[in-house]
Amino acid sequence: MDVSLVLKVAGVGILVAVAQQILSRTGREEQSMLVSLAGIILVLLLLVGEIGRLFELVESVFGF
Amino acid sequence: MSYLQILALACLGAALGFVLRALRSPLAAFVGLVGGLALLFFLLPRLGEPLAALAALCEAGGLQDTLSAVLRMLGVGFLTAFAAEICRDLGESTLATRVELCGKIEILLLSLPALTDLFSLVGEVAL
Repeated sequence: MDVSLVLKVAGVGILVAVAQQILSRTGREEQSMLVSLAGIILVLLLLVGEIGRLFELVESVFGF
Repeated sequence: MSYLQILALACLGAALGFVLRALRSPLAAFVGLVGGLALLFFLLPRLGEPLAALAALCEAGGLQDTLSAVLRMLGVGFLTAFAAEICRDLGESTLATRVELCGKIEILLLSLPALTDLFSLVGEVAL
């Protein structure tokens, strides 16, 4: 877990933003919404694993 | 990672969040969140050694239970504040207040054994 995770999330965010704007400008609103949703779900899946690791780390440091 | 690298990572996270907000991405808040998580990942192991030294001192002094209770309270306070800030970042400020309330109740529950010990000690000394 280092800089790469922040960069991955930012990269997914940029792709989703660009795809969302292109798709909504060419009139495909539903596809743009689906792309946003897919991006959010992808980032949440990445996050959930990291939050789990964070809580394990906190448990080991604070002795829960 | 040195402390300066941690700070640089925080600035990078803030800059990327700014870029995503300018692009109207729905993922702008998540970059800030992930940046905060990365910061915690790098700070917590650095706390590990001083805490272990403190634990060794307290074992020598016989205060092992008190120290573990105090450390748990510290951890709960720390994590509660972090979770409340995550809720606020994502727009749920009432949820954040409820999380803080849960944290206060949890700390009260953790401090009860120490409080009962203290009152019984005071009772013994007074009587």
